[in-house]
Amino acid sequence: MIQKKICLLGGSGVGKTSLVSQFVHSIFSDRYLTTVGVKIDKKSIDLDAEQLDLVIWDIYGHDDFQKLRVSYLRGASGYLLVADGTRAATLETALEVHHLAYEAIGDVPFVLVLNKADLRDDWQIPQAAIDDLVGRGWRVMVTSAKTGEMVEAAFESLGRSMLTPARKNEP
Amino acid sequence: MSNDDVALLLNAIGILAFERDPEGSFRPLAAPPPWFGALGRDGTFPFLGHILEEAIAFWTARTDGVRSWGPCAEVDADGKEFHYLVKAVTVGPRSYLLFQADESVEQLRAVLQTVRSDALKRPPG
Repeated sequence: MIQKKICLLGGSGVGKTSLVSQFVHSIFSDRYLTTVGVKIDKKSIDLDAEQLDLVIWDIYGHDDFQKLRVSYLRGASGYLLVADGTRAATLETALEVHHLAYEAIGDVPFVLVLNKADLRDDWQIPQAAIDDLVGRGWRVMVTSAKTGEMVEAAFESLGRSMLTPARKNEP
Repeated sequence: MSNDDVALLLNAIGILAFERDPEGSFRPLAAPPPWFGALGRDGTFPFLGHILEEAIAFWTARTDGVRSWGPCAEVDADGKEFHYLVKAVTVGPRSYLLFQADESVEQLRAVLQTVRSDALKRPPG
């Protein structure tokens, strides 16, 4: 059994708490309830015959009203960087947060999650921006916390990255 | 005010206080308030584990003052979310560790909820 701390980072309203709720409790609520401070959840997953115990830190959204306190990242082995596919500005926020995280904890695995795939008709993040990040070696996944689409896969992808040797993810 | 009075007062205002001795052991100054039972129910306490290193550095510096971490959200036995703060306090030769229920979070959340909900409704631009 291996235990790892992971964090969910990104702007406000992108669905970080909903992703955790869907992943840990298989629950989704349409009601937006902003996160204050941090919430810590736990879930064990089996990856290739290895049990990985995730300690999941859901950290309040980084925006004009509250900035990320990077001390919360200490000890994290990886993070999900979350953006809202229907709001292009949240990708910029995710990139900003990625810089902060890189400065705080260095080159740890992460997955960029573009959430709200159930609203694909309203999608605003240009494919070219995604292609550019993928070209730089970023792992990008499209999820829906509402339907559960790719949510488990995103956490598992991060889990696998944490169990394999480090690779360069410089901002 | 006697120690018993202090214990009653701390409990009534939702604070659990420990005094830290020079060897690093913690002695509770009062019985834990009811909300504290919801913490660490599975035998782990990741938030405390996270801040303890910084708290020890603060106590070791021996500068009078308070250092605060949180709020951290937890869910009680009824499924209701609550928030708490952890504080390290140094007063002269004494060191304390406090856990404090943080009811002011609801006011902060109400404000953030309003401004963030408005921001979500605004068209991008």
